[in-house]
Amino acid sequence: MEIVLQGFRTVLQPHYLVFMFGGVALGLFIGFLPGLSGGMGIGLMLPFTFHMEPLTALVFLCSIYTGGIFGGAVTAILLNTPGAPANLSTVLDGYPMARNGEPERAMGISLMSSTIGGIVGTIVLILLAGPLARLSLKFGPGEMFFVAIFGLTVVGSLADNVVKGVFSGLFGILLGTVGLSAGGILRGTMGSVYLMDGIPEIPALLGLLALPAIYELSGRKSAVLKVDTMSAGMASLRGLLRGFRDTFQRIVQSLLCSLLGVVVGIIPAAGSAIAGMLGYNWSKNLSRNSDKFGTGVPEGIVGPESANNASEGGALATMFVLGIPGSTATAMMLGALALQGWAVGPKMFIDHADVIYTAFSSLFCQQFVMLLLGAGLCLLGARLVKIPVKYLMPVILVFAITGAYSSSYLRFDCNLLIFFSVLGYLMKRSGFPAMPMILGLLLGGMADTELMRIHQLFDSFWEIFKSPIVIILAAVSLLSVMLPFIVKEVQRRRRS
Amino acid sequence: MAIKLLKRLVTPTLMMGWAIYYFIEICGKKASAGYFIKPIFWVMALLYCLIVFMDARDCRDEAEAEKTADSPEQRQAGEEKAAAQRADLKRTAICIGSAFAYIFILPYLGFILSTTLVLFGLFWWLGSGNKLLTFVYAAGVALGMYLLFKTGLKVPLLTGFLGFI
Repeated sequence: MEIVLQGFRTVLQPHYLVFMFGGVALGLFIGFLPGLSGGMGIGLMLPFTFHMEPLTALVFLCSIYTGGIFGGAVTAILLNTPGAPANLSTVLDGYPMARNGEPERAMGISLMSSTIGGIVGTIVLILLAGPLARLSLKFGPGEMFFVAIFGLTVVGSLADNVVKGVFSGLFGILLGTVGLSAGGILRGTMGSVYLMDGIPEIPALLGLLALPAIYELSGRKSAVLKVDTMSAGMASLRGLLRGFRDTFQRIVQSLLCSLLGVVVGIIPAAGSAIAGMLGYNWSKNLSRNSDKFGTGVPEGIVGPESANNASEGGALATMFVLGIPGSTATAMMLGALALQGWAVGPKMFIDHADVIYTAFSSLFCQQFVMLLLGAGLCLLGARLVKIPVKYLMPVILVFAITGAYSSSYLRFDCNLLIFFSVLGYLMKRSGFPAMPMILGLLLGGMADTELMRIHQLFDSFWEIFKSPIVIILAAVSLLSVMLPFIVKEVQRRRRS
Repeated sequence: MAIKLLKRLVTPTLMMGWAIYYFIEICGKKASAGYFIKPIFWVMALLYCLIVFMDARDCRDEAEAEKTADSPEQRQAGEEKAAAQRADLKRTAICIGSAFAYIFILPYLGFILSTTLVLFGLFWWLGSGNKLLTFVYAAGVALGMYLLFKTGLKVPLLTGFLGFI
């Protein structure tokens, strides 16, 4: 405990505060740009950290990471464009709430939920980093396969029409398996070398969600349906505070989703997108307002935003203790530590415990910095949607195309973006939800790879059920599928 | 009714069509390539049949409702809905065309010129009045984006015939 308190004393010095504010501001800004995430911000700043002392570098990079996740939520709410995959499910209720004339409230809920999630994630990281990360070492192909299946169980509940939702999700899973398989077999690339690594996530995400919304925007005068008649500044501030209050009224939900996020975060490669999705799904299944999800209910923002920010703590625990990066951002951070000449792993906790725990303490403080700077971004963002569509829509379109290009500097990704936007538009017109398809795309490849490994390592598929973790994950997956039906049945009986 | 049903089935048929193509490709590869893909395909095929059945039933119900809807108000509402759909399709086609044209001209004209041209075109199409002011806005945004991505974020943006922008 003494080492943690010492860490707080260190990071509250002006030198580290400057880097914390700078890093969070940079992360918020980069996360706000469609297609760019905190991971890219870390990559961008990597060369600069070489000249910094290790702790400063670590504090700075963690700050970018913290800001990046929330920055993406602002565009998800305002423009139906998730800044990063982590903010995918925030779109579902955040955007309808913003369209109904309450963008500030939606952003307020998102900001406060992100802060609570971040705080819970950091506390868990400080207290349980070691045991939690060692637990993740027990995850073999069987466990990882069921992690992917657990994530995929959400697809049915992301649409009003379950059949169309599942069909769309299965199509996404097939798309997710395109590219070079774990067994070295090339599949579905149609001869394109650019698809050997699989279908890139950013163009698919922007094409399926953002661009159809932009096309729709061109037919409207204003980005929001109702514009508040109060003076802009006061209305924004009131809306933001109302969002904070909404979150505190759902504090139990926020805390539970945060814990779920931490657990998902510690699993290598599971990532904040799955955490957000599961946070949304479980909130929907257990909420009394489950039938109103997707129309702009606060619970639909609290769940995913608490979970995706809390997953950050879990992912960092796995990275620091085991040296396994769970996402692009943690992989970049691992690179930064390697630049400093540090070997990340259990030995690091013995050799550099002071630096590690000081970085954890800084993560705690960064949540409050994010709350402060994030409020500023929300107020600025609320003004953004009030810009006339004739100027707003073309700029977002060009930003989305440049964002898709920036992810891997390929024009092919821009063409893919247009292809997915056409598909997204057609799906929207025919009532096929895009969200299950995106989830399938994100998790399909992982499930396929792990199943292949199971076939290579075990004589029979059923052998994986010897592991208690697999049994628990399979049971939770089954429960995740059955829960909506059970809840509906219970509600029906109560009514009758 | 048949045309309506065909229109509804365009999207799922496109998706299923690609899935069939993918499935056939997988069948020609090593068995391990299809461990996960094959069961997914069969479930998808089953759901496709279910979607066709559901859509056919919905189209039949709608056709019957249209037959009974004789009032001029109902007919007018139907016509207005169709007109709105046509306008929406036209707008979307223009947006997709602009995006495609932008991607096409990027390597020839470079980022700043292409972005200025596309933004100017879209601003003007969406009803921005003064042409000179619109052009200044477009050029300003293009320049701002160039500075942000190229200088700030070190993204190697495409350069055109001028070689530096």
